[in-house]
Amino acid sequence: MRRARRRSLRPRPLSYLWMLIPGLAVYLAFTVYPFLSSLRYSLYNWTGVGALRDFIGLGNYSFIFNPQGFLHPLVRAVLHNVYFFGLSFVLSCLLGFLLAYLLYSVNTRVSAWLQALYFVPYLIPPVVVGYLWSIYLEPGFGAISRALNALGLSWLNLPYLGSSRLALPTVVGISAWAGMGFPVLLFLAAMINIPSEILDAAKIDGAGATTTMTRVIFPMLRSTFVTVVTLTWLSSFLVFDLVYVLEGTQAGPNYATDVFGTLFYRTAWGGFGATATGMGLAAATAVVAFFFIMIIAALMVWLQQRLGRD
Amino acid sequence: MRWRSDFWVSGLQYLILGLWGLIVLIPLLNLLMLSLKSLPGIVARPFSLPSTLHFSNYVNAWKLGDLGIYLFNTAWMSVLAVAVVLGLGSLAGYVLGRFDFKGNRFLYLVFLAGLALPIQMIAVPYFGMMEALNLINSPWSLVLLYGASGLSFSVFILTAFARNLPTELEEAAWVEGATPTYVYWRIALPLMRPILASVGLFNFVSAWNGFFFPLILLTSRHNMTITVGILSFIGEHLTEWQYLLPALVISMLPPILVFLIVSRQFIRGLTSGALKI
Amino acid sequence: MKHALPALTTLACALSLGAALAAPSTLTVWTWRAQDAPLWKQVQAKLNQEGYQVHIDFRSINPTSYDSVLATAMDSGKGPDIFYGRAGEGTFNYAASKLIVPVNGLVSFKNFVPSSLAAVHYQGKNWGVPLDEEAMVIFYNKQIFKTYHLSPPKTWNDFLTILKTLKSHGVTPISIMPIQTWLVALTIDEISATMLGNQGAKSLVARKMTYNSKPYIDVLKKLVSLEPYFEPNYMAVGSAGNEQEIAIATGQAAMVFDGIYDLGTMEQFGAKQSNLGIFAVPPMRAGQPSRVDWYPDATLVENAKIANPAARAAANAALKFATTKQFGSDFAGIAGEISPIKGVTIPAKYVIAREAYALYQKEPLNPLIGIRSPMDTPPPTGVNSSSQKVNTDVGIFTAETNEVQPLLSGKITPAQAAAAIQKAVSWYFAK
Repeated sequence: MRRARRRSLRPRPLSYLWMLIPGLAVYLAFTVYPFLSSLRYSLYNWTGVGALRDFIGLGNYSFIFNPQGFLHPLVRAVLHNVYFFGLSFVLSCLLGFLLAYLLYSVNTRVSAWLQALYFVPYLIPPVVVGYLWSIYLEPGFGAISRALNALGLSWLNLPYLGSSRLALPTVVGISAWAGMGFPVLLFLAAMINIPSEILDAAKIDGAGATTTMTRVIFPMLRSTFVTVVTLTWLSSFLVFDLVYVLEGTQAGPNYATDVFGTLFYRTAWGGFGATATGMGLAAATAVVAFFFIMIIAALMVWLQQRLGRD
Repeated sequence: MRWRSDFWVSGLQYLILGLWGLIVLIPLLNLLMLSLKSLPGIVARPFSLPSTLHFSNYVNAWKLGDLGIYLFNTAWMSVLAVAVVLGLGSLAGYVLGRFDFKGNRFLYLVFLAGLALPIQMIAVPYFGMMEALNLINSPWSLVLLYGASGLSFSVFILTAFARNLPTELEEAAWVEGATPTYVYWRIALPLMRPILASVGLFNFVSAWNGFFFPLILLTSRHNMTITVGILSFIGEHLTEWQYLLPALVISMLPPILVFLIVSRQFIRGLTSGALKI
Repeated sequence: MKHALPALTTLACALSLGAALAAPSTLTVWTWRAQDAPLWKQVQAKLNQEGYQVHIDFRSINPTSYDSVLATAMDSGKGPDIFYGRAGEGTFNYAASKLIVPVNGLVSFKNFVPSSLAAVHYQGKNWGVPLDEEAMVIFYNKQIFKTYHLSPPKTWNDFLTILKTLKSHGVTPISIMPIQTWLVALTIDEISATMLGNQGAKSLVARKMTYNSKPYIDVLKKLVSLEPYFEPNYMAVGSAGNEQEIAIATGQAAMVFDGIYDLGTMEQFGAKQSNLGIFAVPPMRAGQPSRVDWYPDATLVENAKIANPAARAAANAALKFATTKQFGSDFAGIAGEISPIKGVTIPAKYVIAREAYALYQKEPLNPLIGIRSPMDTPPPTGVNSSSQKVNTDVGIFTAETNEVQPLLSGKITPAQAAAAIQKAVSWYFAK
């Protein structure tokens, strides 16, 4: 009802739609257009070198969904991405929220310093993050294994990057270490945005810290929460550099860390350990994955808009 | 806004914050320390204190790597890319977040879709386009790339933010017959300042740290960006970490500086009173 | 953006003008071998001396990104004038697409060791000039061997005794990097060279034997049998890419399986040449020969699309120079690696490389059966418009690389690994 009244006051579409044009034009020209024109690779058997000659229609797609073909590695990779998302969710969203809340409630000066500190790893190129952690985790002479042995905790000195069970959680942990600053910043921004009247009102009503958090802050942050979850989902799906640096194109051990990014790269650009080398197949794989990611992301957006509305 | 219910709670808060601080700080200090070591020390004894501080590593890295040129190229390229993203992104985000019109959700999804594509896939066609525009080997090709591809993320965030902005000021403006452009510029943009700082920072970092596209698009040394430039220290079998690490530390300083500036702006933007209406 | 567009146009004009002025004298060379920069300084000096007014613009790209960067540029016709191709398949793909030129009429190959030409030979023509040959050996730390009164083994059993002795003294006998699967695959090639010998290799190439045969399964078993002598948690080693060179250089491990190209890395991490020794994988019984696995790694090829005639002439001259003994000596002198040009020796300062070269000359595996072998070069695909299917053929080296981690971690048996490898290269045996 309020909505209808508001709309009557609102300007006509033409007066605001033009503001959308420049962004849309640049985006369409320099991202969407090259993407669409790369779609035709998916219809060819093409190594990535030379002209497109060998047209195979939907051959790449049927190969992807063929259990004897690419289905197994693709499903495995996607499941690893989902796992990556699950663990990242716990680390980035929950721990990130907790850290943001704590930063919000402590002394402002300390908070400002810690915010800066938490953010710094995010500024290091993933290649370097990967190298740093790989030398710490080297099982023989790495700092962590030495420290564990020295502390009498040698039972904890495990092949973190070399066991099928531990490799993926280790990579997610390193990724969360590097990326934590960003969700913290988003949550914090949203918390500071909560009008102080609301908090004061809660205080007057005699709400304690816990009640304020669960009853006031958390609900007001729902849409930020969905934003962070969506971003975590997307970044979990696009993760590449870190796996590539820590575990190579083959995303070892035994493909235990093989995610869509490494599968795509290995298939598109070849390199050691390609099961089938071809830009064509890689493009088709990307299309399939693209729709999968989009459906889930659209679901999240829908959720976000619903939550944002009420 | 302070919840000092008691001494223990606040002690626990600082403990958790400090613990994460240490987890972050130790490897960072270590990186700094490593950059001052000789090569055998870097790899064989990464955690011991350097016996002598090799400040010469920094001097050598600077001299060997044309770091000054790389920093300059990367700086103007990143700043322009961020300007494109913030300018166009805030316009689009404002429109998508504040107005209901037919196709709104579709356009929003079009922007969002960019987040789901493996960017390497567009390498070949993008290279062809840049060739047609005669921009191969020019950082302008990266301004366009990061400016355009950064829009998906930025529009996504800015739209979400715009959607949740307080409506009262805007409503008043409509009543007075203000144009959307005016409202965007005088009301929405100031309110969006804190999130613009976050989005700008995010885009700045990804442009600054970008590796794959600069490597493909920039072919000569004097046009390179910092990441590609310093990773040329890595040869096939010889990894010259004693130069690479100082170069990396140097390359991280500008983004840290930007963060410090932006985070202050970010806090100021929030406390400026604009939100208290 | 409003201001960006005019600036962009101006810049584009400036760029094209700059290109027009600078192009006649520039020859671009791309490689993944950063260490060859001084070599191309010498090539430039030589070209200038011959009257070519040319400046060589040498660009090294990190090896893991090299292939994608090169392919993108070549597809748009903006590739370098001369580039380093991967020997075999990596060069043939460009040849099949006619993106590079055959050089038979241009240069003479009479100076080359005949076996090296397989790296560039495709459909009756040579598509480039072979640059180098790499040899795989076992490096050992002399100091550690001396401490425990050990000497290089004569037989496989000697080798196992050495490993046991070292382990009993708490020394890590072998450092290996399973995350760098390609290096472990080279180790398989290295062991199979001695164990199969020339005879076995010939039967494989002639398709009289397969990778499913007992001798090859035994090679995989031998690799697995070394497992107790790798460092604890060895499956996690290799993210940084040079842990094993660090380990031998700093005395953390007694031995590594490695190529001579890694000597530079070992030295960089503090290894003294005088403290390193090498030997080939020892044979089963005393008196049998050891064999050294070797492979051509890089080829120099010329872009088919060089617009500028002056650059074309200079590129031709550079490739011509690359076939001379002078160039081979420059290469060996700078890189300390083996040139495929006859009569080129490695300078005395590269003690270990010289030893490896002597081993390689005395006992090279012939023919090759692993990397860069006939089984490693599936025919280029996508060249014709008739395949109608997705290409899944991979070379033997990729096949081995794929099985390394499951094999070492005990997920599959040597027989299963051999079967998988054989299946991957069935295109060769179906011929």
